[in-house]
Amino acid sequence: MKTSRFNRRQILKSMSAATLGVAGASLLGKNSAFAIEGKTLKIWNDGDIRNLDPATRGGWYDETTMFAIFAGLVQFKSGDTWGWQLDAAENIDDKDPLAIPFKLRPGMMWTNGYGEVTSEDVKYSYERFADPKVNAVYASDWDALDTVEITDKYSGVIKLKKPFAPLFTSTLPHASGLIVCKAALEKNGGVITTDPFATSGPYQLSDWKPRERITLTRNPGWNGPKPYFDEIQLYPIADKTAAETAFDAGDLDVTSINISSVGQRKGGDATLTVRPALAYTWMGMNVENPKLSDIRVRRAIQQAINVPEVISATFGDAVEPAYGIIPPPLPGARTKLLYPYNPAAAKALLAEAGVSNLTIKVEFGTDADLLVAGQVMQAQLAEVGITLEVRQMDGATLTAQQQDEKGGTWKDIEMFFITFTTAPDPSWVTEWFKCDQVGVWNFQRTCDASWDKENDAASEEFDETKRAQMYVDLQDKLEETGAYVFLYHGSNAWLSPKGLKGAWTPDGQWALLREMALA
Amino acid sequence: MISYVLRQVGLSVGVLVSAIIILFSLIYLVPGDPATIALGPRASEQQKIVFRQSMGLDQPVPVQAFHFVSKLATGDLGTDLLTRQPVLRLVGAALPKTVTLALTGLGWALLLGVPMGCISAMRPDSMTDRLIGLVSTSVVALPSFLLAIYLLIAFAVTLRWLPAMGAGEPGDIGDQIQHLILPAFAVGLGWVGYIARLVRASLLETLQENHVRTYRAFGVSDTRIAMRYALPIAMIPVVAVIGVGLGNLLSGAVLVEVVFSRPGLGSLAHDAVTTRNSPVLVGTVLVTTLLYIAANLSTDILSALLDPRLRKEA
Repeated sequence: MKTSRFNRRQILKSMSAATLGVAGASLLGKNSAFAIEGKTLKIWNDGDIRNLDPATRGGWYDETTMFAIFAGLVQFKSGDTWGWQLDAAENIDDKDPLAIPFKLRPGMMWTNGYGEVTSEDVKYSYERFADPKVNAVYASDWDALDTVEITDKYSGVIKLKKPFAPLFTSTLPHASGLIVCKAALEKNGGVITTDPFATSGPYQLSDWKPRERITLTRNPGWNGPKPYFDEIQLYPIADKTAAETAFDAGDLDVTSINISSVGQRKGGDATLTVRPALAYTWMGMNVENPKLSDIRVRRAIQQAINVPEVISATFGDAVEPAYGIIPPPLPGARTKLLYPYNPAAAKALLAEAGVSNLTIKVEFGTDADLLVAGQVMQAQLAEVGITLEVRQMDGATLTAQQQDEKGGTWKDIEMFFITFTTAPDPSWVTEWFKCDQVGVWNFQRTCDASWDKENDAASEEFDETKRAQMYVDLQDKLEETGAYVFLYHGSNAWLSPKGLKGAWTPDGQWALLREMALA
Repeated sequence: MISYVLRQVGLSVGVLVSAIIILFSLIYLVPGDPATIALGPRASEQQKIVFRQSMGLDQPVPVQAFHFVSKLATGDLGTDLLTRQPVLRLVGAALPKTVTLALTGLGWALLLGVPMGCISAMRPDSMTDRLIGLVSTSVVALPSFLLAIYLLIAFAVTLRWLPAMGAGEPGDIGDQIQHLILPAFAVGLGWVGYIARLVRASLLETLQENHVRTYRAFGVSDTRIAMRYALPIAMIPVVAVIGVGLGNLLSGAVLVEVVFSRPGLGSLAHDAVTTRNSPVLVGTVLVTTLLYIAANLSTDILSALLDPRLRKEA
């Protein structure tokens, strides 16, 4: 029997060779992997894909991929202003608010051999939102839909039961307007999760390594404008600081960054793109909490807080203070407050209410920026004699308490910071402050039937000026309750290489992968 | 020896059952509705009810625990609430990455820590001993995640020698090694110091024993006595500590995985907690517990093999 034996010298030699090999491979391999290689783009995604079904999708982490692999009749335009452009539709007529005729571009093919995209697919895609079996979370996007009438293989008419102003702002160009393959879904149980079965957009989902990478490659059946990149790799990284480091290390070509990084990135080697976010952050007050049931106390808190100072201390000049809940690019964004900073008025209101030595708490999730904001407010409220306790906690736990109608622990909530993001239509901003949302997402628990009625009317108003004024009025009324201190709308910031022509929605929330190209 | 091993295995099964009971109790005591998180703000109450029914979340906790254990017997860890993927698939993809990281970290810590401890013990109170003492004490207190951040900035961002994120291309060993170097260094550095201090103390104690004096009397060289006769005895407490320490190493790996965006068990558990994804959390913690038990069982058996007194006590 022959046995192999190593002496000490041989082992040391082998180890040295292995070490040098690894070091060499590392150095050579790494240096050749910077910047955009060939026509592959490596881009950050804020999470892994969870659900690619337009009716039950998760969030942006799904939608970025969905916008690249599915086609809708129309799609969002990239750039600074919100608008739509044709996608799968050759033409579409938006003149009649109740009947929208469309014609598909012939020759668009589904992946995996499911044939051509037809008006049958469009009908199936939109009408399934009302199917109880689908359990569509985004059913309200198609609430107004009556039917999709098929005219021929490529043409049809979307018929609505009532006018619906957000149809061309937040339904058709958004993920609820994407077309799915009727044949593929009927064959596979009617619901998509992470396998889309068949897609018809410029890219197809060619590989998914859970929590690691989503790989998109060109769809050979796409006959629309040819996308620049052969392959796009999306890396799900929840922590933006880690993503920024990966960008600096050359592991990512494009990434979103924290607002706190914007200042130091200005004038740097990379292209910095900053867009106003469709988000709204405010401090809410639970009007049913005994400490805050008196409107004079709530108003005093509103007027004791100097929001511009809070925002400046938190973000420097990277973020503007908010004057309401509707973000500025959308119709109905306000330009002034009804009850701005006035500590003298705040003191007078507290005296009138007979309140002294008030101690009150504000709770919020683990957000470093909000912690700074809370500390600044602590100092401001102290000036009018209010002691503010700042409590940071797990966001999901706080939401569970705010929604705890059975246990009643919501009663212990006093004040809270909260951020919502929205689709590009004001109706989706105000939706959450109605009476039926009390204890669901309306944690201030403000309720006014006439407010709800006006809000419903605004979603059916097609005159833009009138509609904008309706939303201003709605926000005035929210401020009148004293339960809201509007803080900021925030921004979305991206870093990309100098040579890249980036493409994002006007709020910078969604990277429009099909339009990204090297200049 | 066989009865000793059987007893340790029996204890391990008890630990596993207790872990499952505690885990289920804790998960369902924590506030937060998985349906709300999974479906998002636009979901109606009716939709949440349908979701809870489809995922079995409407069942009483003991029933859910029973179903979990029943499925576990067939190797089914349940279904991810968010992606509807089998938890076993997610854990199976993450497990090798974390185990590789923990073992590589521990491996290089042993390779460096044991010789450092030996050199210190053989030259007590010398300059070398003091220098090793200073270095090892300094690195023991260094948190692995902090080190990870500095390593990332130095070697990935500034020098661009090594990658900053991920675990490397599957099937490409070279790429995977590149992605492993920095996180493994961060995870293992604290252990270098710890192992060096432990080996030094244990070896010094062993070198004072009577049988060592006898070897000296027979003219055996100090190096041979230390390496051949004293070190195996001195390693017994080190092996025991490493077994317990592997658990700490796994938890240390969680933060390092987050810093390096490494899709291992740590980041999987972290994501599952924040999204109240209970099946994934239970699956991840269960597998981690199994690893911990396996490590402890292995070290118990190894200690018994090294030290006959332990077998006799058993």
